[in-house]
Amino acid sequence: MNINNHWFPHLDKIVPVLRSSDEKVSLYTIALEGWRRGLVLRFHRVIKNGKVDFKFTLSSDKSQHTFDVSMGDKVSEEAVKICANKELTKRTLFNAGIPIPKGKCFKINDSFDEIVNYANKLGYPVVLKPTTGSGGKGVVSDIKSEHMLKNALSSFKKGSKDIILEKFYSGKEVRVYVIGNKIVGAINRVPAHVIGDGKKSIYQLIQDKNRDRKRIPHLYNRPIIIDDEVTFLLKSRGYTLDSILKEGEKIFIRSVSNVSLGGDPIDVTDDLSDSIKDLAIKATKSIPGLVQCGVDIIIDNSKNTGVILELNTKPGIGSHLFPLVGIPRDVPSAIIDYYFPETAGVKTIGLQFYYNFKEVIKVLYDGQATEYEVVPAPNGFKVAKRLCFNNVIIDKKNKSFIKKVADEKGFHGFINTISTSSFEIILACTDYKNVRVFLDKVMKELSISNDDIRETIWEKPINMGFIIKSNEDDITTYELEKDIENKYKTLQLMIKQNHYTERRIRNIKSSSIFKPLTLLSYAITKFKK
Amino acid sequence: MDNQNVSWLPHLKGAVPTAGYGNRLSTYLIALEAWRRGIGVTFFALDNIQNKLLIRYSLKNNNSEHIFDSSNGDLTSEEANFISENKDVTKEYLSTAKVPVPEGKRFAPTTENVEIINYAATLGYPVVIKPRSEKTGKGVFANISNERSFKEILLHVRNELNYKDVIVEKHIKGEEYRILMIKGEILGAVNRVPANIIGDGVSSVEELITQKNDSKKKNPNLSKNLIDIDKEVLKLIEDEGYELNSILDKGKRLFLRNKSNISMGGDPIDVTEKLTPEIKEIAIKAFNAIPNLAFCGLDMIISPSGNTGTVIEINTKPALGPHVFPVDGYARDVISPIVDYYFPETRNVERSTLYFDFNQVISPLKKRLAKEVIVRPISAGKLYAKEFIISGEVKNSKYKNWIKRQVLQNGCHGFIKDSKGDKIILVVAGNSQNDIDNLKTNFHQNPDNTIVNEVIENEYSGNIKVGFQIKSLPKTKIINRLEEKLNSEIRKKKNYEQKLKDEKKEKEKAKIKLLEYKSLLVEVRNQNKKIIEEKNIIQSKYHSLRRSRSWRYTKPIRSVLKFIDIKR
Repeated sequence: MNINNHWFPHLDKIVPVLRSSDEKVSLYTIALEGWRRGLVLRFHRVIKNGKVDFKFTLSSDKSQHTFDVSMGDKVSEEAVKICANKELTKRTLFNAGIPIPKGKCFKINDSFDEIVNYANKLGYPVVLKPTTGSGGKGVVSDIKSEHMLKNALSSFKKGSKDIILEKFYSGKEVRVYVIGNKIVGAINRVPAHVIGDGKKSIYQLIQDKNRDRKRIPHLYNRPIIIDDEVTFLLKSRGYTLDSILKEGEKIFIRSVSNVSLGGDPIDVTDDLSDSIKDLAIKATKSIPGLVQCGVDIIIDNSKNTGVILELNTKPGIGSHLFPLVGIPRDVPSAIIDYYFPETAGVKTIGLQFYYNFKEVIKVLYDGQATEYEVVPAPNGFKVAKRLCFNNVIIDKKNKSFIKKVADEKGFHGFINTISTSSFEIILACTDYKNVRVFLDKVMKELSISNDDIRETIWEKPINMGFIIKSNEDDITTYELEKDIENKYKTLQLMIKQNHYTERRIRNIKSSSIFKPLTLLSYAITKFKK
Repeated sequence: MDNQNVSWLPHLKGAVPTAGYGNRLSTYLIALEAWRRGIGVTFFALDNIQNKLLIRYSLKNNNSEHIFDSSNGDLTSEEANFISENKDVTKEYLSTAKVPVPEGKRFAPTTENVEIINYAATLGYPVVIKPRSEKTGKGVFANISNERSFKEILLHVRNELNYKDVIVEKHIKGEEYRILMIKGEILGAVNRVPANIIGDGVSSVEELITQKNDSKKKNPNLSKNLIDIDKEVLKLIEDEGYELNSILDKGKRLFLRNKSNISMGGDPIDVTEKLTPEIKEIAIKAFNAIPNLAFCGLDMIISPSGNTGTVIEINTKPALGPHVFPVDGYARDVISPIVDYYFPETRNVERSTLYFDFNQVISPLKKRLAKEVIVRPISAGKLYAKEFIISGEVKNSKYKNWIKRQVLQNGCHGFIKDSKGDKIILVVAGNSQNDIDNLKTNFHQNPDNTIVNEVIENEYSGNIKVGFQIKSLPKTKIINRLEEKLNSEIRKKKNYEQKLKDEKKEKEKAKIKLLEYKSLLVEVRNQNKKIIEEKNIIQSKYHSLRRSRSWRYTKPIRSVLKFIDIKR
């Protein structure tokens, strides 16, 4: 299992890490795809269950569609209603002849015994879940005995909600993304686990894993949290946090696979058999007006059959875009293709731009505005250059001068300080001639020559407008002094080394044996020729 | 005449965010008034070839929508805008309607300078020269008293400033009033006086200028037009027999500039009550002379008697700031009549006490990230507002966030700020008394069992920003306190200033040092590079020597020799 380092280049390092969840990643990337294809993008502020939420509208000359996270307006209200209720979903699927887990729904006031009796009849293992709710909340799976079931039921906050009891299937749980009767991606979520290397303790391995998760936008804020469940599970298997795992030894530290609880998303799209693919599409079709959804399937060990657990109208797509292992799948592109088929040919090739999502969030979240139309994506930009300036020191004033010139020329990009005496400018422009004019101006202002500049092609996505990236404040004399001091030190060291080697050379040369030797080696080389 | 004497309109107190200071003041004032009446406000950037930032806004109520550019709304026709933009055309329309205008003539770009100079002579000095179509008094030269200076200025205007198309007219003596009008109604008038200070018998001239600038900074209309102590200012002070550190007598007014432009530190003074019926009549006549004009600022020179006036210009996009935030006289609400005119159905709507954060709304447009931003709409009408001083273990973000959620869930607005000791101040505004009473019962019953000792309830009448803010340490308050301290201890301040000067010198020194270091660093780097090269050469030499077969083969011999050497 190789952990991914690179996902889609057009999404490289641009998905903002927000307090958010998968939802914001989905919202951002789908809107971005549409915007990059030249659609008009508007964000709306809506209040949902007393909380601020966002929707967005994409529109072309011909059509307009509103999206709620990953769900567009072609999904019918009926479909949303059915999918929100697990019991209703099951009934609809069953009527359409789709395999579902055997089970039954129980009302709040149904007695304990009735449920237990049913379970005994059904046979263990079973699973308990609330009829509504998402994200695996409140689900108790793999209940192996009557005793376990009773425990689970009492902890189920008796009387709070209707519950479903069904047979537990021990297969591989896969989330398949279907849109327009096509399968775009499939993710298997593996419960949080670590794999030993013979050296590190479980605690260290979890920390390593969390570091990997930090690189993935929708997992950034979802590390594996070491809680009672984790320690309990470890204890039950005879481990503690300090135990060191053997090389290759895999140990699960949670029983549920939810990504939000530390599960790993792994792409398995290419592993799906045709019959499973058909099943996913058939299940989606069986709900009227469900044009896109995430289908949860448990695939049995033969890989050819499975049961449908759930249909999600608004699944997060972060796991498809940024799987921890496997090939990333471009779900946003498929969604936009479906809603705006006329833009399907407009592939966002060449220079990729991205809009400032944090600004959108800031303005809408704080509630000063309710709608926000993003400036259209620039087009006609072919070249992006990275200009690296060495041995040049610039201050705030220089930077704002550079920004002014870049703004005048209509460049997009940024200026970034690398060290005290070097910085880089990234520029996107329509015409290379403009870069030359820009450079001449900058070189004149900073009185530097061509030799100090190294020019390369920049292929990563670029922000809108020209910004000054400030990862550090402007250099102070103190820092410079230190810098020079350090440089002097290394210089002294090198001079010393040089002296030393020179002395050794002298020693060699002056040794009594050297002269005859040189003569000898001279003779040998001559002789060889 | 001190601007602290003019009180702001109560509904604008504390309701102008900094983005509204300066040239976007009119935009914000009109948008705010409309928004407070429940009218929808959308700000947007206008597409243009030059890729300039042109911000416009639309006001929308039910089925009527109007687009504004600053104070210029779409009920003023294109024709009226064109007429007012071209000063000669304005004059034609005005003189046809028998409105007094200064005698003068327009000269096309092709006209020879000689012809213009001859015309000025026949007109008789003093004269005024101005570009045909330019706003805000740019390139206007008044009171030119003789041919020599006229020639000089003419060349300057036509060649250096590049206004080829000019108007020459007779200079009329008198005070210049800016009269703001909407469809046949006078909203207010201001007169501008050049930058000036008034003595208090204690402070020096320099201190007075600093004080004046400090008060200007607080005025949304003048915050960016401070008085710089330059050659002209120094000369005028000297001419009056003073120096920068002389103490000005109490009540003595000292003018610091000749021109009265606001941009040069001039003060707008409300003179609405000084307008005579005759002047008003002329103004209304002039307004009616321009077809399809909805709103304008009219510049008129008033004769010393105050009975007649000459109209010199009509501006369809006048600034509202001087009327709303004058330095003397009364603050006039010139904004409501504009919104009344465009949306007569909202005339009797009571405005909300909320305001929106202009900074946040305008920022994405200014950064060119958004094309359009719709301000969150509110319902009109006064809000019920209360101030609660809550004491207890409440100075933590958990409790504050909990309060915030409660307030927002009840559809209320407001803010929390820290107070002395264990107190926090909560200001809440809601649509009904009920909303706030509901909240009140909750203060003690919070989920985290935060201990609340006492809740004191007060009335609150100030303006409140829409939404809810948890205010962290109010910086402005600290600055204000510091400023107060500075004012009361002026002598100390002088010392500070001296210190500041020293510091500046130090900074200069540091800057020079920095430059030295810069070159030093480059030098060191070059040296570094050279030495690395040298090192490489030497090392490769050394290595080839060591690697040479002869050297390796002779190792035993050498060790023997060395051994002998040591033995000896």
